[in-house]
Amino acid sequence: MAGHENKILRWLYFAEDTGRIVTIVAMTGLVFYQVVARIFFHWSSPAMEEAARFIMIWSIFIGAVVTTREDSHIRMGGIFKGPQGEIWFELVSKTVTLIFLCVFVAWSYEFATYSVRKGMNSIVLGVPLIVVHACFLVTGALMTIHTLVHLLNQIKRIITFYRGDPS
Amino acid sequence: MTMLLLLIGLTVLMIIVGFPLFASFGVGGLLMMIVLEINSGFAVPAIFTNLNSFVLMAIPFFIFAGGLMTVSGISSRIVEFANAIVGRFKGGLGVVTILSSALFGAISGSSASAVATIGMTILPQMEKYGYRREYATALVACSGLLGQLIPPSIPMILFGMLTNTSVAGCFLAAAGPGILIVVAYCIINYFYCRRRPEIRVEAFDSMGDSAKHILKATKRSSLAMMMPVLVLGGIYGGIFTPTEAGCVAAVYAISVGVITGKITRKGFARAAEETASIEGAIVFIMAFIMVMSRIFTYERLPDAIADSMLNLTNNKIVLLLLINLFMILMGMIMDDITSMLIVAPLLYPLFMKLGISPFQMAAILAVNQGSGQMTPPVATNLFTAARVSGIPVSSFVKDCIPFLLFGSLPVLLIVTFVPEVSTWLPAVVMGK
Repeated sequence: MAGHENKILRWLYFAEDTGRIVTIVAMTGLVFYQVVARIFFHWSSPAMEEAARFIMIWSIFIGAVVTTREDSHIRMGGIFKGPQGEIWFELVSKTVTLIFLCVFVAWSYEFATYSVRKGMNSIVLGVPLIVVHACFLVTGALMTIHTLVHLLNQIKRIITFYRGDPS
Repeated sequence: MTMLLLLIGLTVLMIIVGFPLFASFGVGGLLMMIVLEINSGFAVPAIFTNLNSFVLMAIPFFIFAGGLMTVSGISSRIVEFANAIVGRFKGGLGVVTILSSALFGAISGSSASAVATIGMTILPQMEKYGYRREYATALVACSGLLGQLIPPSIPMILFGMLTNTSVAGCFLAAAGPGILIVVAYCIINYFYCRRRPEIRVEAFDSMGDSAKHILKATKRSSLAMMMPVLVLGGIYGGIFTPTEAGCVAAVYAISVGVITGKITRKGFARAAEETASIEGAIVFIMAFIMVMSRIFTYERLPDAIADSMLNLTNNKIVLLLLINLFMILMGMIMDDITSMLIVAPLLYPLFMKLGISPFQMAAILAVNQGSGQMTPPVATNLFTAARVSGIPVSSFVKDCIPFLLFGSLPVLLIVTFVPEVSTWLPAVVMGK
């Protein structure tokens, strides 16, 4: 069972890391193609710009997923410096973050279903907007999973701490 | 309104206590929506509308370009170039640090990456020629400010987006104070080095030798130096938008890496991954700040702040000093990006009511919040420099004081009270 979980997680990490590279490369390629086409061939397509914008939104949220996975979201130094204060604060911080992410997933679900229900399409490309609206739901869910993993690890850390192994 | 202010206080408290910024702003926004009975269907569409912006794309592009230049080792040639030009004078290596940071700023647009990249290259050399490690580290940390004043600049892209101001104009507005900081820091460095016999200079044998050295360094750094020319020339020559310039810079960096054979597949992947992560960290926070910002606008909070400040006093000088004091305090407890995201939309109406141009406001915020990166407890530049040099912040923080007191602070006052410093360049180049 644990082996399967590890395999799924490894696959997930691979997909996230690949997503980071692919989105950045794709939006760079699209915008550069547009610049070259406009300057050298006097041709420009708003569809390129729209596609690049949609990819950027995915890129931002995939980046946020990896940052959540690595537990490296930007934060100030904090005021809890001692080991005991720090582990308890981390528990509170991760719990609050998890609750907020659950709310975010609920909002995103509401938005995604609304987008499908209304049959919203993009202005230029004409593609269903769910292809980009789904990004909030998908990445929100992934961030929730990673935060839950961090929370469980934090609980384990606290148990270890009080059993007398402060490492 | 009182409830809204209390919730802003709670958000700031969460940030100071150490919650992740996105969660602090997210929870703050969520509570505001509950208290003000705003429909829950408001948040995600607001995030989508705000992020679906072509201007915003400039941020990942410039981060990507800077990352590619660093992984391909091209950035260190900038230091080589500055060293060849001014490195052979007394205190020359200090000037090399300042100029290199400015030149690197013209590639990456971020102060922390300027500190890390320039610091790694210049610190061993400075020590070798007799500079105290503490002073050298302080100089690297303070010069990092130039990374975000010399265009392109990530905080200026954010400012332009949040206040609907021309990003190209904001870049130019911050360049004036950037040049003043270069001059001020060079003077401070001169006075420091003048009285220290232990600082040595590697002299050239002859003028011909010197010219040959400069020529060689110029040739070696020409590919790196071309990037600012391409970016700024493209933007102000009317060829690219700032976003397209960022993209061209990234493609140029890839091409240079391939031509020189310095870029590997692994290095390229690392630069792309880091770009997405940095973008994910910064812009993700921005998404939630934008939700809050919309709530502020619905509740007319920025106007209320402007009116209450104007009720306090009508004296423009006193008001500007108060605003600067407030922003210095913000800069001490927050990083530049966060304080820019909070302060810009909140204070914009106040600046407009005081008759200050958006470009001047951009420059004031850039100098103020950039200087905040050198003032503990939250001082990204100091922490980055400490990591690069391997000494604690406490050991070199006092060496930063002259740069703050006689460099950043006077420039901040000049930018605040002499509008031409920030508005002249946009007027000349863009006619605005």
